[in-house]
Amino acid sequence: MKTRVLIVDDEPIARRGIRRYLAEHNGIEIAGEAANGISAVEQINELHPDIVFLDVQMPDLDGFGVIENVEPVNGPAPIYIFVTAHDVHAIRAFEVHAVDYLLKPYDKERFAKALVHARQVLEQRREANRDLEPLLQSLRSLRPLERFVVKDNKRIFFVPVSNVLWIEATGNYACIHTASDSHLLRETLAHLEEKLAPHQFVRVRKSAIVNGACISEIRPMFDGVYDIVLAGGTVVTSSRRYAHKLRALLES
Amino acid sequence: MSFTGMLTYWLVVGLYQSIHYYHAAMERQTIAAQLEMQLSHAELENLKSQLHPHFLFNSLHTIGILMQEDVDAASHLLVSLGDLLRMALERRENEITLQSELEFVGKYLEIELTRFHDRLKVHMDVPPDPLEVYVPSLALQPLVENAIKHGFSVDSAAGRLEIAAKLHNGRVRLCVRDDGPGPAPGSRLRFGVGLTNVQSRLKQLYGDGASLELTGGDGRGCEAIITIPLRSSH
Repeated sequence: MKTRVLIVDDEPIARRGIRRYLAEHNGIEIAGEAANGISAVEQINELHPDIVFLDVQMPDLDGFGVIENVEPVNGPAPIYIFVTAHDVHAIRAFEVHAVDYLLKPYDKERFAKALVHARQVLEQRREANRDLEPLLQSLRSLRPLERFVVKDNKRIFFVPVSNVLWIEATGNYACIHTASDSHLLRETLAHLEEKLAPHQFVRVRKSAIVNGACISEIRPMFDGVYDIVLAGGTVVTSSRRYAHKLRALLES
Repeated sequence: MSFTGMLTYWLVVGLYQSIHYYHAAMERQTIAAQLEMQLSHAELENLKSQLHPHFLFNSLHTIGILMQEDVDAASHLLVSLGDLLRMALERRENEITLQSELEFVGKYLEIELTRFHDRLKVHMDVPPDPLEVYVPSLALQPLVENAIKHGFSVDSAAGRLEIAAKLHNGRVRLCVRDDGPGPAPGSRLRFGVGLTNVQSRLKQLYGDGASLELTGGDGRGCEAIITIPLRSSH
């Protein structure tokens, strides 16, 4: 099984250096490269690398910001090796569980040490996970989503699920509505419904999920269709097909 | 008073006096040591503010990697870094010509351009007439370093650096502008160690005749301007 590596540094020459040193090791696959923090977060979430070589000082989001914002949905968190020119960050790096800390300038022997160590940790983790993974998977699906990760052009931020009044499907996207804002998520409504707590969020029609805690009024219309009035006055109409879910919420 | 009484009295007085003098001497020594420490600390801070360890170690790393790709490029960069260090270490004069200061900034930028060649663009707008005027040594470089640190290095959309110098109303005006995120709306701009050093040196050299200003651009970028009285010798 190949070790998949992501290289994160804002200096192209530094990235080339890591590629060069990696080429001397067997079983390595370079999953990608990132030149800033936001691109690093996106690539970690999408590519699920095993090991990330992570520069600390970077534009947009620094190395610590990257670790804070990563949320790989399926699969374990990657192993981080910090790479930096300055040792003031060392203690903080270990606090966020970096397995090693490469100080620039470093040579290929020091690099190899960090890589070998990271691969050992990875191997141990894989062995432990082999038994635990099915259990972890089911646990993960039991624990409902607590916050949405929203990306816009320049930043990544979080919206607690309790702030969301309702969620609307628009094609392959989902639009979450809070009292003051709306944000697009690149996820299908069906996928979100699986991740949200069923006693808190209820699918009321094919293209809408509402937050049960934010319902202020339910008006029966005709033939099993309801107008659901949310805090703030927004009205979401349910469909007959999903009426049983609404009823289950009312009875719970 | 008996003889023993007298003896005891003088012994006590003598002992008290010696303790007093001993304390005073110790205090003087402590103050002298403190002053010395402050002085060497100031010198060290000064050197550190001229060349940040972060810059130095990143440059050394770049040379180390280039060495394996392109020996000529590596040796070129090594020479630039050597020149820069020599200039920073040897510089003892308070004022130098703008031309020499620009040479120093040029060496510094040469290294930064090698590290970030695909992102950083530098625009110099310096006509020939101010080149011979005297400016404080190491005044421009901290401004450039500041622009890179707070503009270019924190925002991947930034990449333009402008350096301008001109003579105006008997004064020299040096300006460094970046296109980084600039100050957050409503926040006050504060000087870091580098700019504080520059400001206190301007004060020492010219009193109230010189100034350092830092202003945010219109929603983006930041501009640092040094204004000093015109002198063609020092």
